[in-house]
Amino acid sequence: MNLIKTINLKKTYITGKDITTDALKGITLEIDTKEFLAIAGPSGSGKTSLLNILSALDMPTSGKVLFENKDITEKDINQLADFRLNKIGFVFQSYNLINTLTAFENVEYIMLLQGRPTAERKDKAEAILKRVGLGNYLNRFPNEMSGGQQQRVAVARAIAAEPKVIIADEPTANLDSKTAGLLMDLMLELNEEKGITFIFSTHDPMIMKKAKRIIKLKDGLIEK
Amino acid sequence: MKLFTVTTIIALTISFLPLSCFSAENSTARELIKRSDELMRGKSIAGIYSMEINTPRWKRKLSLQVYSLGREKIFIRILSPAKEAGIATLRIKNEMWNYLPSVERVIKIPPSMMLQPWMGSDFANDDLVKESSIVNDYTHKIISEQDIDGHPVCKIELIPKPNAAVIWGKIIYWVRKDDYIPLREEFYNEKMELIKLLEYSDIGKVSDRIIPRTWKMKSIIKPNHYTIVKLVNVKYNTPIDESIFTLANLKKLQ
Amino acid sequence: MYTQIKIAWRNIIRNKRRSSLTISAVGFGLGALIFLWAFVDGAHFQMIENYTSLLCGHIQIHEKGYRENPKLELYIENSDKIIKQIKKIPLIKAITKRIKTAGLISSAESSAGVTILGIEPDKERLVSSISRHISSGKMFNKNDDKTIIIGKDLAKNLNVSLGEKIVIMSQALDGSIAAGAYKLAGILNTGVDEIDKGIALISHKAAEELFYMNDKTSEIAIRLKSAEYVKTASEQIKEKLKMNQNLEISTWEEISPMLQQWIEFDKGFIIVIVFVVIIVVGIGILNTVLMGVLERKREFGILLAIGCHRREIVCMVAWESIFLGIIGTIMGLLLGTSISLYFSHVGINLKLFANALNSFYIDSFIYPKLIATHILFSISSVLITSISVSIYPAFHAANLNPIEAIRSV
Repeated sequence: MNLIKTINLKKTYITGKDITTDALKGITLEIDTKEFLAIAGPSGSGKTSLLNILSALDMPTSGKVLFENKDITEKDINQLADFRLNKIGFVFQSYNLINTLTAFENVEYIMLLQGRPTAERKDKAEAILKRVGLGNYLNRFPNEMSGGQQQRVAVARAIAAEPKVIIADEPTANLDSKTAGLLMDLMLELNEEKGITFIFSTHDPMIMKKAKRIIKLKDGLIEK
Repeated sequence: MKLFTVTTIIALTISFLPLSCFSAENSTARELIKRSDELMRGKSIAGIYSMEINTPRWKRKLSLQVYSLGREKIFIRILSPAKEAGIATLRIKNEMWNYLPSVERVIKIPPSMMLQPWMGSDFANDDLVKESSIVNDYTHKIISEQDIDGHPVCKIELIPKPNAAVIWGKIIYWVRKDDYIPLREEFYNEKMELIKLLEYSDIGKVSDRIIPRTWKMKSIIKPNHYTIVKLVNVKYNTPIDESIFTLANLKKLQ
Repeated sequence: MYTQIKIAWRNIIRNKRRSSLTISAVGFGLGALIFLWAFVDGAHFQMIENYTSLLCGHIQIHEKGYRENPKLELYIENSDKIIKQIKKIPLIKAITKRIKTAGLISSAESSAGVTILGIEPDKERLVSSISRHISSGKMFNKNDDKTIIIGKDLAKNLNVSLGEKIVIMSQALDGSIAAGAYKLAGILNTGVDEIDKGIALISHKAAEELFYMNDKTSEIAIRLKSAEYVKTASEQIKEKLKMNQNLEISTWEEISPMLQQWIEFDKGFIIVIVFVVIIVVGIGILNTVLMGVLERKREFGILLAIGCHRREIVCMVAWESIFLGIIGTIMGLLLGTSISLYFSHVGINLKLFANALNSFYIDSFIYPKLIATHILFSISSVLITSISVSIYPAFHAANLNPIEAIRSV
């Protein structure tokens, strides 16, 4: 089933006085539900730009982005915020969490933003943290956890919101290979369990191997 | 020859006419004021006056014995009513003393009290102390002439000279041109507001001259306050003993 | 909302040193404001007390038109009846009556213009403090009609000493000349020029005889339990005396606008201080909160990315300001009130400025006075400032571009 569809997506940045950079030169693709998709390519290929647009953090310069057949480029700032809150889950490369909240509170917070009732939030936050293996770290602050643990809390938070797709921009870049592998396995498991599409970017071949589908980007275009 | 004389006379008259018309109006005005002042003051005065003080709340009548010598000395003693009989005022140059028999004390009037009413009347202490200021401390100008009761009357404006120590901003003085009899004085403050009005009436013979015998000083700022001075028995230019104008005489009970 | 408060609070705790500095700035600023205001209020209170207790009283009753034109003829009829009518009013502490007119006072050597007051010494003592300022000699008693008391400057001008004869000359009620001789029984030293140079006191009885004012008086002076009741008491008196259309009832403020003007002037001074404190507090909090926001750009970026609305970000930042403001205010309140309370018991010694102070009716020891409305005003100004000042950092955080924010170091 069609989740995301882009039509001739272009993105141009103004990087200086009268200097523009074409990050994406015309991307057309389709992504379905339950996909576990890697966007691969060297730095500067436009991976981050594409992910930013797919996750509604940024708007294309031209072209369309359809999510569940609805054009998301028409939305205003608040509508986009709600869209991201409910449909998209985020796992950033680092510094995902709010430092002044515990692991539990971090996961709970996103459900709070969604307006879910207290009991549901508490039960779910506990359960999800247990699922990602951090059942004993509920009351730890981010600065009391390792990088890998922090990433897992990020994943837990992303899952807790019950999004349609989780977008992870180089989620393992700051982790050692063993921890990276474990994180990827966790995400794959969750993808199978919950049917949430995972789109992640990487330039690490080992990570690429874990993907079910790879889209290769070079110089702003999909490589055939 | 006759024609020449007549022509000359006519020519001279004509040439002098404008001169007499425009001849320093000031000196004519000043002359009038001087003569009027001398008329009222004489070289000496000795006599009895009555003074009736009227206010909305009460009325008092005083009988006064007055001696004055030139412009510098005045002595006044209250003869009646009994409660105030014996109270006397002495003025020499610009100093003034009161004597109160009930407390047996001579009081010198300080300069700060000069504007206070004399004995509660509409005449201020300063009015009695007035020297020849009306002649010397003001500049004089005739502002109009008219006929009143068959006499030519000049309306003269008196403006204080720059350094003169006078309290008025302006005095308007009505005086008869032919016999120097004053008819009316208007007193204005520095803001040119009319403060007091002195009306002379009852013109008749007093001693050796013809002058008004009733003087009414009316306050404009205090409605229904006025003081009427009448000359009862006044003699001008009779010899007066200088010892009257002494502090010793002030204290004498008579 | 709760989480936002939690986040805001924990941010403040996180940076203990910065937060304490800011809170101290707010605290000291507010504390100083509260204390200074209490100081000024204390001085004013004294001013009013001293002025009204010296001779004026809190409220005066006259015949209509007297205040504009103080003449003996505008006397109060049936003054004893009037006093009886208002005596029962609980706010009133004491009542006395006085005959007042201008005249000439003279000694053997010189004379001067003077205001003559005929007073009832036994009642006057309860209304004004004038009898306590007799530096030599003593006050006459109420039946004494042969003695007089004058101020020290006047005594010096007239060159008289105790026991010598002094003459008063004025105009009686019927217009006739009033003259009386009295023996100097006492000399006043109040430190107030107006009184020491220009007042002569004789008994009310002597004044009645001198001025033909039997059963009449010029003014009724009233002392209240405290100056703060002036408006209420004056209304009550007006109500009790409303049958008598000929009286005018005046408060000390109407009698001496000059004192009122000094107090108004000081109010302006206080406003300036309030402004200064607001600016200091504002800058202190703005600096701290803004720094905090700039340091947490990435965090705000992530929050915005995962779907936080801008208004929720604004809330988060605003709460930080609110917390800093509230804690600072509490500190300032405690500091300011405790210092003021301490000095309100002990007094602040300004003997150095005694001369200047006396001419403003202030003693050399000032006791600060805490007034609830003033404290409330100070607190509100500081709190409102703390909150308003957060608007800029809050909006700055809310309008960050998430992508750039996340990328910032």
